[in-house]
Amino acid sequence: MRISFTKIAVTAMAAGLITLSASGQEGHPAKGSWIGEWEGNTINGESLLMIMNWDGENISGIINPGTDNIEISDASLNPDNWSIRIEAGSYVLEGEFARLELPNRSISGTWRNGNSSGDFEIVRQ
Amino acid sequence: MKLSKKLTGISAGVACSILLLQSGATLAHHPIQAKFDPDASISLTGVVTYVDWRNPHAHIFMNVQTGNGVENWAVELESPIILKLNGWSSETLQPGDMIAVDGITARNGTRQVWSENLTLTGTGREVYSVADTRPPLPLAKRPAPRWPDGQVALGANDGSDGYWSYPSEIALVEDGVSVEMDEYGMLADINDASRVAPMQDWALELYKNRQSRSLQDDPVFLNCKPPGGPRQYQSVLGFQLIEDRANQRIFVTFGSGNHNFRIIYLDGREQTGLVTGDDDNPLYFGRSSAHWEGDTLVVDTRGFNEDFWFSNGGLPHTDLLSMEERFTREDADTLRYEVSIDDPGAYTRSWNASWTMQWVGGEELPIHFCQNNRQ
Repeated sequence: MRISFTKIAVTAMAAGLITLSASGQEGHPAKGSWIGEWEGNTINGESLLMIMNWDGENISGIINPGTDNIEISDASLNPDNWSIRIEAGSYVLEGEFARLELPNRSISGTWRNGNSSGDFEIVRQ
Repeated sequence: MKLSKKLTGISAGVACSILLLQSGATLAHHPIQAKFDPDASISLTGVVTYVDWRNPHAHIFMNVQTGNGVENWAVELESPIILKLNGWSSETLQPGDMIAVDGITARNGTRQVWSENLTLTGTGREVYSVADTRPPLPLAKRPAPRWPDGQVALGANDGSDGYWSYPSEIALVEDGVSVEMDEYGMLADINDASRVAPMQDWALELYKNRQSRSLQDDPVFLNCKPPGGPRQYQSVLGFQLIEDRANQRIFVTFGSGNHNFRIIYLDGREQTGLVTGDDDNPLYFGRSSAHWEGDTLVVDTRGFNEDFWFSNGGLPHTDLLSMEERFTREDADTLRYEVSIDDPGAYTRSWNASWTMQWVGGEELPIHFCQNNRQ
């Protein structure tokens, strides 16, 4: 999977969402603001912003807030292998956590939307 | 020339952990396993070149002759505070002294060693060793001091020095559960993880992940952050409860973590933070409101952020955490701490833990600035 992080950084700065360093987040690993790309997405563009929250029972959130506003309808974390499945609108994203122990952990995997699909990677800010 | 390196097996590492557990002699403010590999023993002999006497840990630099020349090694010791309590100083060793060191090496492969035994080769005298410096308890229990209105005092109320330390438990474990841990909260058997507290699945796996990484991701170790939550009362460097009765607040100052302080309010306020209200802004120490029930101070704290590990050993928490803490000075030398933990984000039910601390009279709280040696 090849993702342009220069493009990610420019997009994030433009959105005013990037910080010099990720704030500590030692709670639920999915919680937080995530920035990255979903490669080859011609419908919503390749920039991917995601906000995820944890209320003790469910992961909720939104993709590309302010522009696409795709609400996360269902998300589940499998802590046995630290994989996550996210359903949002007509999208399904399945990925795995990397650098779980760090605030700027990442999730990478694949996205699907109908007949379209590709890789994605997001990094917690 | 002498440089013998022996990488021992798991059995030696286990034996080492048991030895540390039994002696209680290692008092580092963070797990030494986070930086050093207990299974990688080493013995070095060489000449002292420099003594770096700074927090969080003192270092001795030494030159070790090898077949190819000279290697410079850094020997890490306890903090200067602990070493001073044991009678040592920055001048115990001098450049030029010949020393022998037994210890364990750094996980990252650099020439650093955690000293388990350091001797002057000329005399065979062991130096920079540490022991349990717990002050002896009086033969008979002394009553807790009280203020003129009869309220028990949580600290010194006569202008003398003193602080609380030497917790009877070193890691947060649910009351009634017995699991074997070392002094940093590392489980002797990872299969005991689920018994420590009633964790949700993700929290249990995260706790096991932190344990499997030897606690090296602990923000206290990585970023010199202060202890948060109940962990504040399980630090070897202690804490003070400073009662500002005129303003109805208690300052909790910590011997570790850069002398940070937490404020417990007794003026009846709710956990709404500043007068302008910022209760939607979670804080590292949360917001504490307290009242007295007889001789017990009952503290309700909520509004925590998720920037810290709230126990030695790495139990997770979320910003849904709220705690009821009960401080009872049972006698002049004993403070009982009881905490009820409610965090539906990380645990399947509320749970309780408790331990006691001992009064260290006649001494000021140790001043320990972790960042002193973290450039």
